[in-house]
Amino acid sequence: MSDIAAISLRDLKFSYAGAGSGGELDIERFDVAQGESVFLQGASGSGKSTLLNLIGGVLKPTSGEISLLGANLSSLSSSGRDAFRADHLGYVFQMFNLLPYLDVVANVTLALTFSPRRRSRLDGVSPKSEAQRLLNALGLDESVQAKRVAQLSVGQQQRVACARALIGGPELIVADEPTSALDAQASARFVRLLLTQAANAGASVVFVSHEASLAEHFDRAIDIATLNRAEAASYE
Amino acid sequence: MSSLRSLAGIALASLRSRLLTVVLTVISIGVSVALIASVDRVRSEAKASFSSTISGADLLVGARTSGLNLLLYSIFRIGDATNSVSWQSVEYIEALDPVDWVIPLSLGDSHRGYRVLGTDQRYFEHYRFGRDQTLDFTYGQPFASADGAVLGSAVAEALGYSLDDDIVVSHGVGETSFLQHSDRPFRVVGILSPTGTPVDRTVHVSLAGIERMHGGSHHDDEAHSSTHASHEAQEAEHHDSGETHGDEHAGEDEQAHEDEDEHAHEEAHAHEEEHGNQAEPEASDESLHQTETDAQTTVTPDSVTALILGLNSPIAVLTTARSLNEYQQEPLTAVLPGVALQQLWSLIGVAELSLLVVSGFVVVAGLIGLVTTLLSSLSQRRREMAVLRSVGAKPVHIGLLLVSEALAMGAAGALFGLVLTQLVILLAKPVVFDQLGVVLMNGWPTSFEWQIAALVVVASALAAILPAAIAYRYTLADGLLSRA
Repeated sequence: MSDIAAISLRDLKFSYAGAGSGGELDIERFDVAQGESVFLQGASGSGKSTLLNLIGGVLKPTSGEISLLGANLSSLSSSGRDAFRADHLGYVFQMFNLLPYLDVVANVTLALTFSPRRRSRLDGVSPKSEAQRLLNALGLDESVQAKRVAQLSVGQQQRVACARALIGGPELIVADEPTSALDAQASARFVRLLLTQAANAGASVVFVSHEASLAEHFDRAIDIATLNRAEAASYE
Repeated sequence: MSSLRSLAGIALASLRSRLLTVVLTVISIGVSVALIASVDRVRSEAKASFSSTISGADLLVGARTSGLNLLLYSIFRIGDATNSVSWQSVEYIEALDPVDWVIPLSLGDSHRGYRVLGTDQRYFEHYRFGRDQTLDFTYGQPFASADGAVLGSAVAEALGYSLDDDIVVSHGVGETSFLQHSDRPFRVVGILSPTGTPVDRTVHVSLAGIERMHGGSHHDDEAHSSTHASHEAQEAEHHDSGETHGDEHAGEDEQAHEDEDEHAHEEAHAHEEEHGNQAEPEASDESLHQTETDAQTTVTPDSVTALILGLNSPIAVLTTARSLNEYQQEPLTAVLPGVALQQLWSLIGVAELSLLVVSGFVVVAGLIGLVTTLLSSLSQRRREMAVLRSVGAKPVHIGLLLVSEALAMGAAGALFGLVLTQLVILLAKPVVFDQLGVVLMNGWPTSFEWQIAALVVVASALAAILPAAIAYRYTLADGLLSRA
């Protein structure tokens, strides 16, 4: 099982039709092992959004191959990629992760809505109690869970998003600048909580951030600029 | 599928979070549905009620006018007759071979805003409404004497009359009249069961009663001391002399007229003296009733407003109508009630259609409001869509989310509209009955109303296609990383 990579990119090329310099991507090779946590450092415009959309299956590469957990995303239909994302990926965004009109627990269980597989992986535990368990583990007790989403602090919102990414045990957690709105101390605490829970679930983590100081928490740290030959070329 | 069920839950939660705009949108759709449904209710109830007002009659006959006008004033009590039919013509028509029965109708007076109809026993025998239903009495019976009055159910209810009450009839048909025949009250002898037709709003008295009221000072007091024949002769004479008098003195000084007026007053005084005081002992009252019973059998009117004819054979209807329309002695109009009704439909059809078209536009406006509600929320919701995408929602799910929100608003609006329609009916019922004689009924929505409601729901879903398509495009363009 562990010999299958969580993420495997080979000769990946992507460019928006008719787009200018931004967003082009050319990655020869990038692998993330299962259970591994990787810190991707990149400034805006480095192509990280494009990379995350490619991994998420929202964009399709111009050429090359993306394999997640041994499945070649390029061979799936867009609808198949949506289903794959629902089953195997958990996302945490920079901010505004939550639907303001759902309560905290419903925001967490939202991740089960489109994935029968993640629902079945709860092993008979009700979605609600699993959501509450994860929220508690992430330091959000009942009093916080009872609040309306708009009443939560940004840090609390990010942890709710974290619980949503983790519920149902997806193999890969993708976090896009989740700490950009947090101070250094809170950022470090958030990263530790995320990594602990991901490790408990056996999930791989790809964490994108421009804050180099966070890199120390991860198994491996890479600068996107060094990965992306297209970007490198445009600098020279 | 459980993801669809969750989607519906998300849609509802999302609507709840925008409660004010959603409620206003639902109200605007509801109001438009209620408008179109109410218009249709009044329209179809009016049609049904007009159609069921008269049944079993073969011809309507009146003075020369349009068939529609004749129908309106004689049956629906809308408007006034400009002319009348002479009693000679009535007798001629009664004697015609194909004529089975005749109901004379004499209109032109009112009681507290309700029309007074002078007729006779045959009205209660032959008049039919709805599906060949006869007039039934809730209380009492038809009038037997000239001072008897039979009230329609609505008159009795609205004015709180019961049997043996005295009522005073005024000349003309307004609610208030300066000319009250207060010296000649009528006594309520019968109250009809509700019919849902203008009969309910009519006060029925005998033709003799009408004569007694108008001509009382001239010949009532003479009638009881003279024979039928001599009275008729007198009346004819009086009538003739009146006419010649008028012709001869047209344009002359007014002295002659005043003379005659004085003469009439004298006669009136004489009458009062002769009969003494109304408040005298029972015996004289009895004798008064006696003479008035006689009066009904002996007094015949100069003219009536219209006639309802029943014929022996339906085959004779057209030929009889033609012969009456070509009657040489007096210009008459004879029309088939059904034909006159058709003229009525074609006349009000245009108004009816334009009302429905306007209501239809109001529904469209309501739906545009719904699309606006969805569109205005769309740009704020790009983040929300990216979140849904990240947990595996397909673009089609995002589209469905918007469609189901529109469906929910449309369905709530349609339902609210149906409820509002009942409320409108409840409030409009008394007014519509009073003004049009049309009975509106609360009750389950008509099939038309269900259809409108269903149409609105479907149209809401269709109206959501535009915002859903835009949302779909956003989700494809934004991917997981909307920066909105």
